[in-house]
Amino acid sequence: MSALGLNRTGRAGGASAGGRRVTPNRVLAFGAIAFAIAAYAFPNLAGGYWINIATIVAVYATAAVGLDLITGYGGMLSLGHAAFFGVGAYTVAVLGEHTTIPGFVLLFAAVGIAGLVGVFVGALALRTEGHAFALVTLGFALILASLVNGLDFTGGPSGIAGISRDVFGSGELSDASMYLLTLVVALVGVGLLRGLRSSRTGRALLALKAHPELAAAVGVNVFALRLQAFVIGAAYAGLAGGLFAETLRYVSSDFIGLTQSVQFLMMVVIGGLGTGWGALVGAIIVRGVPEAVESLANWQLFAVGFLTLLIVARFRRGIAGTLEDALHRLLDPRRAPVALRPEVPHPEVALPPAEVAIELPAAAAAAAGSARSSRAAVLAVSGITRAFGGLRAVDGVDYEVRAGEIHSVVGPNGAGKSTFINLVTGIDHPDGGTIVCEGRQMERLPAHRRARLGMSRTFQLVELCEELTIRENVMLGAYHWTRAGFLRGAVPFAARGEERVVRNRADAVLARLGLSELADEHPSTVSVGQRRLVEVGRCLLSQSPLVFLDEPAAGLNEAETSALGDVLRELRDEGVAIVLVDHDMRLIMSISDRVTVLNFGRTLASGDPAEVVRQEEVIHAYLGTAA
Amino acid sequence: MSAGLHVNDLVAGYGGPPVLGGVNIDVEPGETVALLGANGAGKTTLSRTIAGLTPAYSGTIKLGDVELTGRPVHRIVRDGLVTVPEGRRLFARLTVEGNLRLAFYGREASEEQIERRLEEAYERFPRLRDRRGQAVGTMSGGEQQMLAIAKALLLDPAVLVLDEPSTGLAPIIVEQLLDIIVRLAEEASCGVLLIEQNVGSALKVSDRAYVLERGSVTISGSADELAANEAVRAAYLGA
Repeated sequence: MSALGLNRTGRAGGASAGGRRVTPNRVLAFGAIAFAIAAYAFPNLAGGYWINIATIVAVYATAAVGLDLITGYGGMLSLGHAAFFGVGAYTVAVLGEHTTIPGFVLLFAAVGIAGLVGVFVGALALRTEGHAFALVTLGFALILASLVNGLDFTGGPSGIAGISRDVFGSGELSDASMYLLTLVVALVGVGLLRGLRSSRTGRALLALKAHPELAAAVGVNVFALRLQAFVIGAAYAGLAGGLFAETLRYVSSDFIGLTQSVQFLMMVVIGGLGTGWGALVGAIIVRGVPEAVESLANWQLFAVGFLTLLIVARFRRGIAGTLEDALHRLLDPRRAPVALRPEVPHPEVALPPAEVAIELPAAAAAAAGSARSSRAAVLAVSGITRAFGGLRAVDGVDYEVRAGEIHSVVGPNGAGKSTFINLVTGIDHPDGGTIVCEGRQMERLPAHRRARLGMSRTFQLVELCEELTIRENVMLGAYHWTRAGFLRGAVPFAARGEERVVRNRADAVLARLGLSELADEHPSTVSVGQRRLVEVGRCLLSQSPLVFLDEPAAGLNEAETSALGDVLRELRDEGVAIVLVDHDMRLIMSISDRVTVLNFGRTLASGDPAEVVRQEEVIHAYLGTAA
Repeated sequence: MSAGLHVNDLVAGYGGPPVLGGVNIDVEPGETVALLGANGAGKTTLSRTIAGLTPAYSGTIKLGDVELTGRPVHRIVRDGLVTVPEGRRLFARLTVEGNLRLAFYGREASEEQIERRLEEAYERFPRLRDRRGQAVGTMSGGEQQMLAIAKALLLDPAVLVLDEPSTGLAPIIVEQLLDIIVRLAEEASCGVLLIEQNVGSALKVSDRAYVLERGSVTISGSADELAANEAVRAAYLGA
């Protein structure tokens, strides 16, 4: 028992603190190296036939990596992935037929043109969501396949044969060389996608997949990020298509139809969506095994279909994801049975006073400085109005909060409090009135712009990303003041400095909130109250001068609520302006500098808390006799 | 119709290590029992297991003589054990009235009876009457919470399990809600298991209470005893 206790109280941060401990990531890295060596040695051990199969598998894995970025990371279900594969293949085939451009330049052209087509299709498809998105990609793929069949320069139904394999201008590549080339491309692709998983942009993608509103609230331009992911995924498919053409020396519309798109999808689903290496596993299973075992070829569709059913029904995270989970369970010493954990946070210590000093956020520091002298209004809302049909949810509300002030908003259920927050943070837009934050007119700006300009928020129904750990969820808050994009995020160590800063600050925030022990858990394993605190932590890490809290105390008990109050008070004293919506009058009364009461979308009363709660109409409409 | 809830040596969790390590809890007809505990103690796991949403590893859950363990959720509800889960499960596209009418789905009830019962619900929560034609998805969080509770009451529970019912409700509504719970226990001799973070108010309206810590009941007794208990006061009442 005591050993367990030590492990759990030890510095949060699993892998980094573990020294030489066997961690799941190390096992995976070791497995990756072993696989790479085995795959490299493969041509010498197996015959020519096997090399061709392995080459095709590597090509398909590369395309599947692109689809995992689009669907597994980005949450966009694409039914037209083979179309981009086809664009790449035909780019190489057509250009190679009419010019003498070297093969590797043709591959770049394949990437570029597939990416360009991706911009066009993506921009069109992303105007829709869910099913409609999938159907737009499907429609595009069908159009492309029929064009390829009908046009002369693509060779019609018979396709184009005799494609050169002179990739590097040094003569035709042998099967073995072609295999090595495709293997390297596939493994680099998997490695980059895997690296992206634990980077700023990877986290943003996963958050966006779970809750677009959450992503926007931390400063993610939802449309732009989705489009980027889609285009990069399409470019990957283009590269794979180009390699495919050079491998087979032949392309035809057979390779780019709906069946192929579905097959790509099966690969990433069976391999494991959002895992990176699942694309490789899926390609081996869906393409490699049936080709290798000839007797299985007739059973390929049956087996793939059956596997897909099994995965969707029983192993949601696919083969790679399931294996990873098993590894985590096996190797994580912290995973003692919950009932036996001696260190589950106790209410008294759930929220210790901040002993860990958090660097004062630059923005907040500036706000604090000016606050002490002039108490500038960080947010000034004037005459804001929003009607839903005949219901005036918010009806001409004026509101202001200054640096270093907690200005609470209370009111009966349905009074318009949440609508008010949504209007000010940009999830919804007002019919009239003005919103000025830090001297800037805001009412026309989208939510992510407002987040970047200094607003952060929590949600009434807690919004956290289940695929991210609690630490990573907190790290999301840093999105708008960090920079690493797709490339820097994916390349190992490229964004190391920035990542370390964010991680350290996240750990400090978690310590401040008493959540250090839960840093590596996923949100669903902790209670509602703790999830609320994680959201508060996300706001802390955003370093915004203006924080909106929508019922942060709901689900917390009295002791936890009073500890939350302490944190909010400290934050206020650091110069942050806080808009607090809650029903816990003990909390409201103990920490608010000002209180506004809304009723039927209008301001019923506003001012000093003690005076407001004495007003007859406030007691009647909201407090009852309890106050 | 009245039968108590008897949870015996219940071990449960989510597939991994158990979250509940042998819980014993009784709720007799007409009795309001509070379940207290820190975040992460297993309160919600207990309510989910009782509701049949999460399978029990071992132990028994009985309503009167009826064994509930292993029964499908809809049967458990018909047996008379109704749970209002945390985070209000409602049909967002239906209206308030549509949601309330669902409480009578598959039950023998004339239109007159239904109208009368709906009227009852609207009297309990007048706000819902104002919103009766509105789609639930467009209502505020607190209003949805009221609806979830109103709907549970229409199911005529023998035992009602309320998981954090006061979440998101204005103080004046919380007061009314606790009133309704007390009356429900007294008049309909319904047993109520009240899971609340609002410990002070919960103890005020309860007869007995249990404290759940790390998956086991560590303290139990009458509500007055617990309200006076030093450990409880320190941990949950912020005293």
